[in-house]
Amino acid sequence: MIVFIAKFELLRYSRDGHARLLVICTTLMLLASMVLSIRDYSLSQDQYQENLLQSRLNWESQAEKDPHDAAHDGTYAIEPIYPLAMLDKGIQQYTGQVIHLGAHERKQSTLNQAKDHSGLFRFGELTPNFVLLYLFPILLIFLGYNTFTEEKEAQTIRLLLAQGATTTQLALGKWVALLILMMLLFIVYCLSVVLSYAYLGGSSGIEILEWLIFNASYLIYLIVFVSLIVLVSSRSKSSGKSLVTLLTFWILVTLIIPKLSSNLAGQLYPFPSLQTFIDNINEDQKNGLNGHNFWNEAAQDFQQKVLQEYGVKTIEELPVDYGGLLLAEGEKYESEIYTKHFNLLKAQYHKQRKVFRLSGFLSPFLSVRFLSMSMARTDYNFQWHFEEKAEQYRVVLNTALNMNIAENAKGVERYKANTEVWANAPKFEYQWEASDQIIKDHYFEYSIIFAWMILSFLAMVVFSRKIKVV
Amino acid sequence: MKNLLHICRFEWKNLWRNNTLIILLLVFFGAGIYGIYFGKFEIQKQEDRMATVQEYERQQFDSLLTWVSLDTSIKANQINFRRAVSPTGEGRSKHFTYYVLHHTPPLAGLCLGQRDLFPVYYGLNVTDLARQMNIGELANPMKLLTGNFDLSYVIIFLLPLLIVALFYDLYAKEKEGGTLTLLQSQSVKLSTVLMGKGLLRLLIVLGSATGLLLLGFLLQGISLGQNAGIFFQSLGLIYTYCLFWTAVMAGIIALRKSSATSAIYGLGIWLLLTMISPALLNLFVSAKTPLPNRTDSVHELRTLSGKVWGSPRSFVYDQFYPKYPEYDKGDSINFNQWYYASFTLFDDKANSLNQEYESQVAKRNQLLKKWQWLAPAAMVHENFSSISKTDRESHIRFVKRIHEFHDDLKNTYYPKIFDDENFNKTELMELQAKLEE
Repeated sequence: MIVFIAKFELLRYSRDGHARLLVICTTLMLLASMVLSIRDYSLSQDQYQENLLQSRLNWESQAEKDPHDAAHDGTYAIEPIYPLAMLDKGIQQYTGQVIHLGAHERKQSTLNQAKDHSGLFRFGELTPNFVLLYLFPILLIFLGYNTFTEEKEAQTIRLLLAQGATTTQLALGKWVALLILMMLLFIVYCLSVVLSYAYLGGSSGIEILEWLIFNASYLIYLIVFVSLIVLVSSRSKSSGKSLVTLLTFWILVTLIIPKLSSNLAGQLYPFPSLQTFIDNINEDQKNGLNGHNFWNEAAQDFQQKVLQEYGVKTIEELPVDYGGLLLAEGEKYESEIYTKHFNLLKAQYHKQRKVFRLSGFLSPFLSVRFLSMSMARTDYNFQWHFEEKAEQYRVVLNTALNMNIAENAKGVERYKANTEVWANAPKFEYQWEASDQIIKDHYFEYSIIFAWMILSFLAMVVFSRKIKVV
Repeated sequence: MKNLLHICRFEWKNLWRNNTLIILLLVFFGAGIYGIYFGKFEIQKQEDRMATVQEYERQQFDSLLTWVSLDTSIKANQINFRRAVSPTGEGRSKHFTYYVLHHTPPLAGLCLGQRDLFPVYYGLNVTDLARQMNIGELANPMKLLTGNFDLSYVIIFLLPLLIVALFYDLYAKEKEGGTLTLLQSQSVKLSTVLMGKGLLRLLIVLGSATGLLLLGFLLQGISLGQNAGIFFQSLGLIYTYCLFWTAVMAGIIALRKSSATSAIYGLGIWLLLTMISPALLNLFVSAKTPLPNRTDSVHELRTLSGKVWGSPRSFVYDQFYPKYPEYDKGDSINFNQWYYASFTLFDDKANSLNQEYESQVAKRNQLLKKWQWLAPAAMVHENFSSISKTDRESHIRFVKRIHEFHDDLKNTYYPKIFDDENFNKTELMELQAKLEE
């Protein structure tokens, strides 16, 4: 019976001119977004590769100079782009693209692209994830809002029930039909993605499993909508009411709640101002080592320690250049202070994240959005991960340069390192955070969307028993 | 005319007795008031930050004034004295950091615009401007991505929905309720009846919009008297937007479809104009004319900075003195002189790179402007933020002011640095006048 109803329902969809038009329009939009995203993505990848080469070239082509001067000029960590970012740009354009890695200072990532756009940019971009998150659900609503109410209005529901169908079977049949329709669209999406990556020359770096998980969250999200549409349509007295209810839900879930939760997160757990943040760091560093101050207490203590270690009485007797050692130690100390303060900031971010996560109970949209961004490595977690790795590298690089001074500058007037030192300096090789780690970190979001899927389906089945026919 | 009024009055009773209108208005005003409250909150946060910075700046300057009068025969006082009088500062710390504030324009709380993307103040000393400008306020990028729920959002996104909800069954309700034939049998033409019903709804919409804007001024404590100009400008913009949507709905009603179909058409167009077309336009322009690679200038500056440090003296003689002969001190150059000369050279390069870049950005944004009519919602938002002075242009104007401030600072500091002189107390008092009110 369910199969029969589903077949009949699909026939009805195929005969509906409006439905056809909507499906065609959405598909076109999806394809357009895919084509434009490919272009956008390959441009950014090219820029990334170019920047990466250029920044290393600049580093290696330095003239002979004091390694610490080179450290001050520094080098750059360029933010990489994960292949899945083609489908979901996430916060990419609201964070920087490069981080200056110099001596003494942990810098923020800079060159935030959003700053170069006009206000229009804040309306979002029609990337594939935009189509999946906003347009597919609304298309499903437009297709299915009257699946029950039309039968009620035309009184055909009585005929169906007279044939022996139960209301639950009716609901399940309609659910299956809408699900099939959704799956067809989803398959079109998947095919276009496969073709896009094939065109780009292979989806280098994405594992099949990761790719399935990325898409699964969208699929679950759409199933939630399918169930809710059938549920609302079965409970509504008229098509108009059903449509209004569903659209209100859509607006709340995709537009209002995300904004409210983001407002709330910022209000409950505000970030300090940059001024306060830097002040606190400076306050902590004031009495510590900085590599240039030989005379404060911390420097004196360090000097004693070094002399003891080498078993000598004066700096002159040391086999190495003391200045280099002090610089290296200062760098380590300063970086620890930065780490401490950035961790405080991160703790605040995690509190904000909790607000976003809990909002998933009200809006599956939010949970899916976070899951998608996390897999595409375009979320704030990625940004933190990248910045922390860059900072670790900064300390490694600076230590190498300062130790070069320590080893070679002893007794040399104005020591200059030769150019080989630049080429041999450690390279920054960023490793993406492993997928299983990311998935583990997002169990909560996965649980929420599963709960939404199961509960919406159960609600549909349970309430379908009580459908009033008259 | 009399008929029209009669119809309006009757329709008002009709609407008022139906709960839908009340619910719609409650939701609309509820959202609006929340938006006003949130805008106020965000602006307050920015103002608090600026106040803290100013307070800090004043304290710091007061210390300078205390230090300049210290008795330097006591050894412990010497460092602080040098901190106060040396234009190049003491040790690794520079002389003084001045804060330039981007004061809150009166309407900023109603339309936050792009203001959350940019710092509302910059701390500047006389070293190169480029690196001091290269900072961003700490913010969760997720918050920037989701955007703000302020009054402008309510007007751009929710007001059209109110219009759709009020208009969609204007004709269809009569038909579906069976009253259409009754109306047609009257001596009044059907078009007049529909016109009357439409007019009343339009008045409700315009009234609500005016009410909300007034509430915004009232709740945020924006003086209407002082800002009457921008009030009417915003009101004009909002009215135009309302009329646009009313025209869209009139077009849909003219098709004489059923109420559900009309609603779908209305919402479809809403979706198209507020969400899809801006998003499509953005992606299209990004893919067609991508932003130039700003990182290029980072690389160039990196190379320049390496060269300056590599051979400081030749840089000063070959490039700085020919360009700035007023500071030419011949052969007697000390560390601070070439150090500060290098900042100017660095800034010159950075400025020319930035200008080139900005002109490309401007060209691209010009292209967006040309096509912006495709996305009327975004166009209205852009205009609203321009009226509120919270758009990107306003920030660019602020940056210009910073450049002027920095030039002024250099004109005061550089002669001192190149004459190898210190500030005296009177000069410090003059510097104090540079602090912003």
